[in-house]
Amino acid sequence: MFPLPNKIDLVRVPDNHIVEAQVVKLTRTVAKTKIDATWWQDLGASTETRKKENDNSWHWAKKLGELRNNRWHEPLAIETQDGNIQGAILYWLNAKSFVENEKGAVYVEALATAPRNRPWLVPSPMYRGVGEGLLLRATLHSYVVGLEGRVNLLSFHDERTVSFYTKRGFKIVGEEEGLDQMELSPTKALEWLKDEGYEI
Amino acid sequence: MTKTADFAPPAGGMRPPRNVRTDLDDLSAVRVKSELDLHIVRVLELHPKLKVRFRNYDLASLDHDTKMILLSDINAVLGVKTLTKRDT
Repeated sequence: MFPLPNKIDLVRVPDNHIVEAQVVKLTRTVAKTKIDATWWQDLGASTETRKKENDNSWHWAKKLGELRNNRWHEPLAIETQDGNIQGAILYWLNAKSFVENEKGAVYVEALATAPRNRPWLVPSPMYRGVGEGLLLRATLHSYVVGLEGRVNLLSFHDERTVSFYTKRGFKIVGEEEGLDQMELSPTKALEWLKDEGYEI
Repeated sequence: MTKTADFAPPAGGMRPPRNVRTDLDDLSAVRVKSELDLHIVRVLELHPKLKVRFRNYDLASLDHDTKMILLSDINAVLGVKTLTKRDT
């Protein structure tokens, strides 16, 4: 499958309708103007609440600037028709599996949905399925470059986060600097892709 | 995507991979002009065993259709099957 799909379905929460959004390359400019400068503004959530979010201090534009000449990273975002960025992911294609060290894996360095899409932060979130769509995209990418769908990441050790990944087949396989090492095996990746309607 | 999709908490920690592969081919000299070029080069680099079989890395000399055939051949060697999504 090349190119990978550049459209994704999201659930628009207020009316529970499925809407189409675009998967776009996350550039420094987009990160600066549509994530770093806006995601945490006018949320209505208290400073204390915002500080509890693990990504509240992430600087996407700065990160992308540091990686400018690196060919192995993939920065993507989901853009809705109103031009807003609803979530972003940064992953690498040249990482090793946490489990089978001789095998390659896609490593997710960062994945976040816009705070406006988090029901624990705002009373009326806008879209559901953003993070899942981005993670699925990383899994598809792993498959098409011959890494068998293997994806790994470091997860914050809280119930909500671990539950989100285990529901998609990830397993905790170790610990690294206080974070859980989680990995999606090829078998589980294919199961998930099939569940999502992909025929392999 | 279904209407029961979840809200995703942030993950990843914004930390680069600690363990990157060191067995990759270095094709950084190959000129990459499109997403297709980048994809082919990345796959060739990720799978050094392909080097013997696919020696022509001069993507600039290939047209789009030829590159797609090359990619199809590479996928066959790697066992990467065509993914099609049924309407849900």
